[in-house]
Amino acid sequence: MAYIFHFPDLGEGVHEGKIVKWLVREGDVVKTDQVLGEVETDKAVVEIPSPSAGTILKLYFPEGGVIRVGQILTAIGAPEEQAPAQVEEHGAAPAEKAKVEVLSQAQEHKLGDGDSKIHVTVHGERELGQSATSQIPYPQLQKQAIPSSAVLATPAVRQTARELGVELSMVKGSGPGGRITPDDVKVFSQNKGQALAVQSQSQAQMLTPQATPQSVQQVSPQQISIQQPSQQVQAQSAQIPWQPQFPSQFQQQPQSAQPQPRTLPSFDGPTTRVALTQLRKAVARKMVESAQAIPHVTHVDEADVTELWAVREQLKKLVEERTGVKLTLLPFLAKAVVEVLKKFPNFNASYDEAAQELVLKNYFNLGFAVDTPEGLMVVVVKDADKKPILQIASEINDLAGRARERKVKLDELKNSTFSITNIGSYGGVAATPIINHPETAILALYRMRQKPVVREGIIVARNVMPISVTFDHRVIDGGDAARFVNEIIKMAESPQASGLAKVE
Amino acid sequence: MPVTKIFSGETYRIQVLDESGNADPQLEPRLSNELLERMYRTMSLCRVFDRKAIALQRQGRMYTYAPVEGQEAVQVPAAMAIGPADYSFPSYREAAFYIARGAPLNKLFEYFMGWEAGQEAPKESRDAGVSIPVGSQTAHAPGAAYAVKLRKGKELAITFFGDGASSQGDFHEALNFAAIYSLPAIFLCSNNQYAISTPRKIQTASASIAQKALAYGMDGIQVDGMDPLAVHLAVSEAAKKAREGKGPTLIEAICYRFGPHTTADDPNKYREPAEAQEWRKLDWPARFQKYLSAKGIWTPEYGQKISEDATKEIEAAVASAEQFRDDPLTMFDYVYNKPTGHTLEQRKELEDEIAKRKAAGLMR
Repeated sequence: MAYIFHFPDLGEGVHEGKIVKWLVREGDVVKTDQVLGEVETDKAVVEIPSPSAGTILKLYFPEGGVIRVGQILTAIGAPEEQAPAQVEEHGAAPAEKAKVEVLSQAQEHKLGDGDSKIHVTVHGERELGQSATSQIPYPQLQKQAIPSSAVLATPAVRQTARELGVELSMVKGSGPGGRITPDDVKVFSQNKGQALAVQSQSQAQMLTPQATPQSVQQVSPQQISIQQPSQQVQAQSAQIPWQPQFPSQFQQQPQSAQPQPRTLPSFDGPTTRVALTQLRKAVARKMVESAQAIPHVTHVDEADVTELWAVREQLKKLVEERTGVKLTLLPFLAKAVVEVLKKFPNFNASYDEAAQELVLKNYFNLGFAVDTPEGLMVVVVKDADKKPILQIASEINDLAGRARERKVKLDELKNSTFSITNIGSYGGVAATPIINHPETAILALYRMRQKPVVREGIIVARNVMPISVTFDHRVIDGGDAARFVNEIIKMAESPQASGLAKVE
Repeated sequence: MPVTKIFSGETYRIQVLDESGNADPQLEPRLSNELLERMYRTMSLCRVFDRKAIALQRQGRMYTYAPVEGQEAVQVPAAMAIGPADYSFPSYREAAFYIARGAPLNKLFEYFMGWEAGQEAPKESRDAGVSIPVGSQTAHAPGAAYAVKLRKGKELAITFFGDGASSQGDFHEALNFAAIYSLPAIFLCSNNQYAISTPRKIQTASASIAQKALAYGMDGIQVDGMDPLAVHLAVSEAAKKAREGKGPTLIEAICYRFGPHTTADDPNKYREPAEAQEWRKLDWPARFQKYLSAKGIWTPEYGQKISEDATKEIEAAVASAEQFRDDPLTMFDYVYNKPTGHTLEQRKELEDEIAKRKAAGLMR
């Protein structure tokens, strides 16, 4: 009988591992304790020795694949034996594992088939299935079985979701314990398609994916959690009676649900109520989403743009005559950003929370925040890496103009991979922009000023511009941000050497 | 004279087998061939045990394990330099010591597979169970040694710990207490260069751990911990001194932990693989084989046979341990000689939980 090698907890509390490499292939004959391959967990890269001698019937995951504890890694047996199908269900959440531990002893007795102990235990895990789940009468187990934030879905379902572009945390699972089935994903995907079609007719909803750097103060997450009204806590408690009664400020927002509106106190004075425009509502929603999802950190520095400014002065008149575009420093710095993004792929990426993977983007669409009378919009210059500076300048000019007149197309507001907010024309030395979710960083440019700067012991007047990058601290660290900005500064400070002087 | 010297001290290092396995004629202990063979066989067995334990953990057949490889020449010769009635207080990385003291291999596997009964020892055993809290066991040894002294016994107490534990308060209290009462105690520090990821050089500003003994008014010595003869010599001398009422000894055995801190750790994150290669040159097998070969004991065939026997013995122990089943309630039986109030309460709680689950059809 084949030895079914279920992936074990390789550390203490490890839930999954990535196959770094296989040292054997299907069909190979292996000895007991021969190294089969290497697996990386969040704790260590370890070699996996074969628990049995025989022929490798099947390797269930390719190199680079992520296996969860309890899933089958490989099956080893006689050459003519059939490898079993991959196990469904478990491993998706710690709750599953806890359940198995509780039940394993009973299963061991039931399945005394002469195989080794752990083999029997994990078989038990498979055989438990759904009926056992539904029998568990203990609240603490049920509590674990329906975590509010964890997504219960098999790797196959996760793959389907990725292919269909479905965010799994938005999908309500119809399977046991809230597990998401393949049908759930497909139905959700179809409904989403309809929803999108409706959305495209509404200018306001069209703007949902955009972020604004300016309204930070109004929607800081701290304020939101502190002001949570007590009836909301009670409502949750009624649904899930075993939920501990934490003080309201410790209550977490459900990840996917719409935030419950918070009531205002009565104000002691005359007030006027102004309805938000659709665009403003979309901005507000998007800001809360980004601010809550992403731990923001801002790094600020200064660039001496005197030389770059000289380049711009030289070209300004010529460009305006030829194209009608008023050349600013923005397109130069946008070009520098694109070049630097190539060296820092984490900044041109999205963090997939469900898969805990960073999605690096091999294309460079720059978003530019535009301050319109109705509110913030982000216009997108596609494939900025393939465009010369003058073209970027003219596209920004065109898009921003049409955004202010509400003539911009939906397609021109989508799919940015990195955003830039330029508030230099209004002033400012530093701000704390909000990242355009699901991007991982946003660059901000501030007003260039003449400042006394020490050059080789002499104080000289130079044109200095503050530059900041706000980044998602889950996937980027302060050191990376500093290096990222340093590279941009380096390019901006020597436009001839860095190629920024070449505009077409 | 207002300035007077109040203390000066020196600390020495001993090595019997040089790096090529040649014995120093002055220091070479005249051990019987029988003892040398037993030492080599046991150390070889421990290495096979160790590697098998890691493999079992990687295969999901055993839980967390703290690998010994690189420290066998500390633990096994030490076990063979003390008497069966002596007390011992090992840490969690002393599987080789337990094996050398005669603990059944299957029981060791059972312990690491999660069975509390794996730590069960015969009534007459004076080897304490595995101590997980770092350094806690260093304080137990002087306690036992004090008891021996009070009843005018001839036994001693030995405790094992690492370089990291030498920074714990328990260690300093233990040394101080043992020295004050001139207790028959041996403090054997396996300085394996790392406290999890903390390297020895930032563990203490002292040039050695051995020299810390001087401050407490006791003897301290450093030995090559990959030299089984040096360790045997140092522990034998310390034991003799202890039995003669001449007080405790701190022994620092310089060795290297070739493996991870535990199976949940990745040493490549805090040290270079090249470092292990350097230490490998000092590893005991080649040196000891050379010495035993000169004595006419070791031949390649002899080594092969020992290794094959060890593998068979380990495989049989694993097979036996994997069959082992026990009532989980027995875990409370071993905490104290007689269960106390709160162990009985906990036992009752687990008993009720099991009954509930059986009633719900979740357990048999």
